Amino acid sequence: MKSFTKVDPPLTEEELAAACRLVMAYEIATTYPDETHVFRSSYEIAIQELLHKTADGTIEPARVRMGWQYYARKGLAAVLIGVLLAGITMPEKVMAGCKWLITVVEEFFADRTEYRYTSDISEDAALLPMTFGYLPEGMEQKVEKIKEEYIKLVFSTQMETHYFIISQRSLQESRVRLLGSNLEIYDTEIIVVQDEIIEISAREDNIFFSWIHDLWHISGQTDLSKAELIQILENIKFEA
Amino acid sequence: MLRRLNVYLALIESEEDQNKFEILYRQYERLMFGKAKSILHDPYLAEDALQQAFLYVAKHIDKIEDPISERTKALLLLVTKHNAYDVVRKERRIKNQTVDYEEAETVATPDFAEFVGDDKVSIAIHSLPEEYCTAVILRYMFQYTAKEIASMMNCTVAKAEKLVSRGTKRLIKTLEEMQE
Repeated sequence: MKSFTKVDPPLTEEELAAACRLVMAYEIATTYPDETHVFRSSYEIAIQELLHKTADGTIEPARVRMGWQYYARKGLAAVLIGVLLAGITMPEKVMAGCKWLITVVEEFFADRTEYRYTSDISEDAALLPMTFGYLPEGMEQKVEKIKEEYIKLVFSTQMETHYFIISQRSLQESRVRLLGSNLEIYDTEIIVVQDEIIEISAREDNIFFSWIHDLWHISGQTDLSKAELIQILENIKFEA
Repeated sequence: MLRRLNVYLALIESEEDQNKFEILYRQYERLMFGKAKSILHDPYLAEDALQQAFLYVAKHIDKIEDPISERTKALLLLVTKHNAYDVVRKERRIKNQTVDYEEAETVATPDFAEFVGDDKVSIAIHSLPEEYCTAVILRYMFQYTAKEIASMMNCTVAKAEKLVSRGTKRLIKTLEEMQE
């Protein structure tokens, strides 16, 4: 038996039913039959029509209208059951469908997804070169390419057992792929460094990274460990 | 009179139900008409409401167990009252008047409070707008399902569910206010 606890003492359905009976008892007590009324002819005609309909069997039985909410709920339940069954019988296809849906959403609503990127820096801001607070032992800079909108630095150890390449480009110049766009292709993860999101993906023995900082796209690759890469990135500074 | 009776009887399939409907018709027609007229203050509109009410009764005769009982009388009056208010609502729509549920609200008169012995729950139910009041009574007194309430009130099941739910909430709110 359901009870309504919001009121004190809680109200039970039985008490509610008893109260309803009291209300109806009042209705009965205060309703009086009209013994004098003579029913009009139009009323009789309406009844005649009803008579024909019932004689022909054309009178409609009581129909229940469920309302759009009912059909919406049923439809949603059917779709969910369908997806569930499809998920059980064809998991690969469902996963592929989900990935396709994610891609579509990201492409069409890129500005609205969590990957939206905005910056307060002016578009004309000059490229601020990177300085490295940390480099693994023995790692030295071997190549440096600096242009107005582009910096590329290559580091490697003496015996070239490890390498680290990093480039910095203006966002306007760089063909930046959307963060998260390759999540399904490689073993990719999102890490947070210097309070910013960096995408790293591992391919064979190499780690690739992609980082959007203000108006610059910083990307590169290395065969160092992930921990060392994070330490390098954590200690990069952008100075005029 | 006989023709009218035949029409209603034609709606009823079994002989037992025919007898039941005949009893209902003979027993309550004038009372139901009195109820409709007291709401509508117009005998012709009251006839329309009565016609609709009997149509409902004919289609749902299986729901009536004992024709001569206070419970059946209450149900028929509730059906008539709802149909009468339906006529009120239709008339307002025709005259382009906004339908204000509060306006149709039954006022808990001192007589009513005295009748129910100051039973707060009854007073709260009685003060509900007609549609909410009817839905709540059908749900809790007659134990009707949402489908049955929808069929009786000539609305969708979704609306019937909403009327019961909102009616109950309003009822509880009124009770809370009374307790304060």
